[in-house]
Amino acid sequence: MKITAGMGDLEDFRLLAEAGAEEVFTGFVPPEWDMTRLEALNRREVFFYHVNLCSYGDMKILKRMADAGGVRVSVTFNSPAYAPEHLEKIAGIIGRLCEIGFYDFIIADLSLIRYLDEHPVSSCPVRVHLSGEIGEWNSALLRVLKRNYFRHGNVSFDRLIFHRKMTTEDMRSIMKTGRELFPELTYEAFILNEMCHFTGGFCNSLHCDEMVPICHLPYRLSPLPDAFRKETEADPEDEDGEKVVPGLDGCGLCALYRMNQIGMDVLKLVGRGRSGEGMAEDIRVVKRALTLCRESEDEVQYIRRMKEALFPDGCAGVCYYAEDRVKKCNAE
Amino acid sequence: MNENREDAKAEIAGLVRNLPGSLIQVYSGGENVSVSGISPLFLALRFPQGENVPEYADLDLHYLDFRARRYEERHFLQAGLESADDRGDYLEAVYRIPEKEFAEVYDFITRQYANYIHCRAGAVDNFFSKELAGYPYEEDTQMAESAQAWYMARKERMELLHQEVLRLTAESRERVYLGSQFCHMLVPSWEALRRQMEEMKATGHPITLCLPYLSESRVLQMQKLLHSVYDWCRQQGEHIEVLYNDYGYEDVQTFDCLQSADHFTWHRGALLDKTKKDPRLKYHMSDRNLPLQMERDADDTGTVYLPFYRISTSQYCTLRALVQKGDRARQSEVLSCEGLCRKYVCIYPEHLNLLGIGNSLWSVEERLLEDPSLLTEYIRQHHVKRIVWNLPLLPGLSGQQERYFFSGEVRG
Repeated sequence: MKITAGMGDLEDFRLLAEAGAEEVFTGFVPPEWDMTRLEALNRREVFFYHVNLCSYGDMKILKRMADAGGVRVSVTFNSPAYAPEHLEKIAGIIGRLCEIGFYDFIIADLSLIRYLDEHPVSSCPVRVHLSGEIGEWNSALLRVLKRNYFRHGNVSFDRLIFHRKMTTEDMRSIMKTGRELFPELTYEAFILNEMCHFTGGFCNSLHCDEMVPICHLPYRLSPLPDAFRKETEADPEDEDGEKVVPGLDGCGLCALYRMNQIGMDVLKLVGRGRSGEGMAEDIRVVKRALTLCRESEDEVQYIRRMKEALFPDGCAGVCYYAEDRVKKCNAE
Repeated sequence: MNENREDAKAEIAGLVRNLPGSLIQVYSGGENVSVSGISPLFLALRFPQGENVPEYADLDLHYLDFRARRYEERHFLQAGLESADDRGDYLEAVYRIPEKEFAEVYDFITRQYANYIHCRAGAVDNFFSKELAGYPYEEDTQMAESAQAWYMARKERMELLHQEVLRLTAESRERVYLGSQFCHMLVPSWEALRRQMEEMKATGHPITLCLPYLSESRVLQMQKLLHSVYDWCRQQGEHIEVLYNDYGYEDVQTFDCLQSADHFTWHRGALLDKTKKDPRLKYHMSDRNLPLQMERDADDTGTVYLPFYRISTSQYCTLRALVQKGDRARQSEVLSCEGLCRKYVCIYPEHLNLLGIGNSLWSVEERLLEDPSLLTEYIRQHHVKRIVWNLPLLPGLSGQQERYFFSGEVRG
C-alpha cells in the first residue's frame, strides 16, 4: 500500500517525500479565485494557514519537484458544492493546471465532474479522485456514477477515497463492485489524523480563520445520569497534560492488516496545515506499521506488535475503524 | 555606498518569510508567482527554474485585507532586481521597491498576520473570535440548565412562529413526514412503517417518506423496504413522496421501484443540500440571509424546515459515543440503537440557539424567533411552496411522542 500525505506548503514537499510519501495531495487557490467573495475551492477554507498553494508559479515548481522525486500529486477541489455559475471558472483553473502537468484532482461535487466530462479542459482525460467528502459510499452510487457522470471520456474515475466512518467490510464490498464497473479504479482510505466528529460530506458548518470549528464549541450533555457515566481509559499524557502519541485526533492503524487483505491501494494521512516535520513523522509511523503488517503472520499478531512498537504507553483511542473484529484482536 | 549595501544585505537576510500564499500574491510581467519573503524595502519572489527573471519588473501585488474581507491591489513599476539566488528547486529573486506605499503594504500584511497569530496563540477559548469577528465569546459559558429549560426559554416564541407557519399554510392539506433523513436507526421497520402509513391514509394525510444516507451493508435492507412500500402503494392505489439523502438511491438497477411515477415522486433531501449553515454566520460575513434548511425542487420552488435547521451529521452516532464512552470522538458503527436521543441532548451556549440532537447539530434562527413575520419575505424571495414543522425532533418536549413532522403548502 502506498502513502499519500497532505501538503499545505511547497517548502514541505521534500520533507514528505524523503519520509516516504509516494503521493502528495495539496490545495490550490489562485489569485483569480477571490475567496473573500466566492466559495472555498476546497475544504480548507482559511487564509492564515499554509493549507493551499496559491500561485501558478508554485505549481510549476511543485511539478518539477514531483517529477524529479517520482511523487504523484493530486490537487483538491473538494468543496461539497460549487455554485453552478462558477463551474466554468473552476474548470478553467483545472485546465491551466493540466497545462502545467497535473491531471489528478480530488473532487466531491458531482456537478463539477459532469461539467468536466461535458466540457473538456485538456487533451488528456482529467483523472478524478472522488473525495470522501461526497457523504456516503455504496455500490449503488458506483452504478450511478458509471451511468450518469463518466460518460464522454473527458474525465476518468481513477480513485475512490473512502471516508472515515465506514467499515472495512463495506469497503471490501464496494471494491468488489468497483472492480466490475471501473477496472482501473484505485482505492484510498484514511489512516491517520483528524477524526472529525461529524461527517465531512454532511457538515455544513463554518471552517474559517476567525472561529473554531463547530465541533470545538463548548457543550454538555443534558441530562446526564450517573448510571450512564463510564470511566474512560487513562490516556498517555506528557508533563503538560498534552498527549504525545501518533494519531492523537484520529487513527486507523489497527485496521491496516485488514486494509491490506481487502486490497486497499493507498493510505491517506490528512493534515494540511500541520507542520511538515509532524507530517513527515506521521509518514514514518505508517511506514513502520506497514513493515510490521508485512512481517506479521496474522491480524492479532500485527495489532499486538504494532501496539508494542508504536504505542508502548497506549494509544489515544480515537479510532476511525472501531469495528468489533478489531476490538476482538485488541482484546487478544 | 558600502554601508548601504551592507544595510540592504542585512534587510534581505531579515526578510519576513513563510507568509501563507493566501495573504499576498504577485504578478510579474503577467506571470503569477509567490512571495517568499518581504521587508519594508524588498520583495522576494519564487520563480520556477528556467523562467525569465527580469532585471526590472512591473509588479502587481494582491494582498488580503481580512477585516474588510477583500483583496487590495497595488502596482509598482520598474522594481529593480537586487539579487537572484538559485535555491535548487526554484529561483529566488529579490526586488527593491523604494516607494513608501510598498512599505505600507509590508506594514499592513505583517501586522495583520502577527495579530492573527497573537490572537490564536495559546487561545483556550473563543477569545480570539471576539477580536477577529466580534463574536461574543464571553457568552459561551452561559448554557441552559437542562434541555427542558432550553425549550421553555423559547417555547413561547416558537409557538408564535408556529402560528405564523399555520397562518401561511392555512387551507392546505397537512402532509406527514415519516422515516428519517438523518439517521439510519430512525428508519422504521416495514411493519412499523406500514402501520404508520395506514394510519395516515385513514386520516387523509399525504405521505413523505424520508430516507437517510445509505451504507453499503444496508443497501439490501433498504431495497427490501422500498419494495414493500411500493407493493403497498400499488395495492392501495397510493402515491407518496420519497425524500432521499444518498446519491445511491438514483441507481435504477438497485432501486427500480422508485422509478414508478404512478406511486412515487422523489426529491433530494437535506443531507444533499451543501449550503453553509451555522448560527455564527452573522459574525463571519456580511451575508444576512437566514441560514434555514431548504430543499429546492426542479421547478425552483422550495421546501423550508422550521424551527430547526440542520448543520452537521455523523453516520456514527455522536451522542452514543458521548454517553457510553464519555468522548464524542470515540464513535463506532451503530448496529443496534438504545434510543439515547430520546433521553439526552447536547446543550450549547445559549446565544447560539444550538442543540446536539442524536447524531446531528441543529439550530433555531434567532431572528425568526424574534420576528416571525420575516418568514413572509423569506418565502417570497426563495419561492417557498411548503413549510415543514420539525419541532418533534425533540420528542417529549414538543408534546409529541412520535417524530412525525407535519408540513403545509404555502398559499400562492
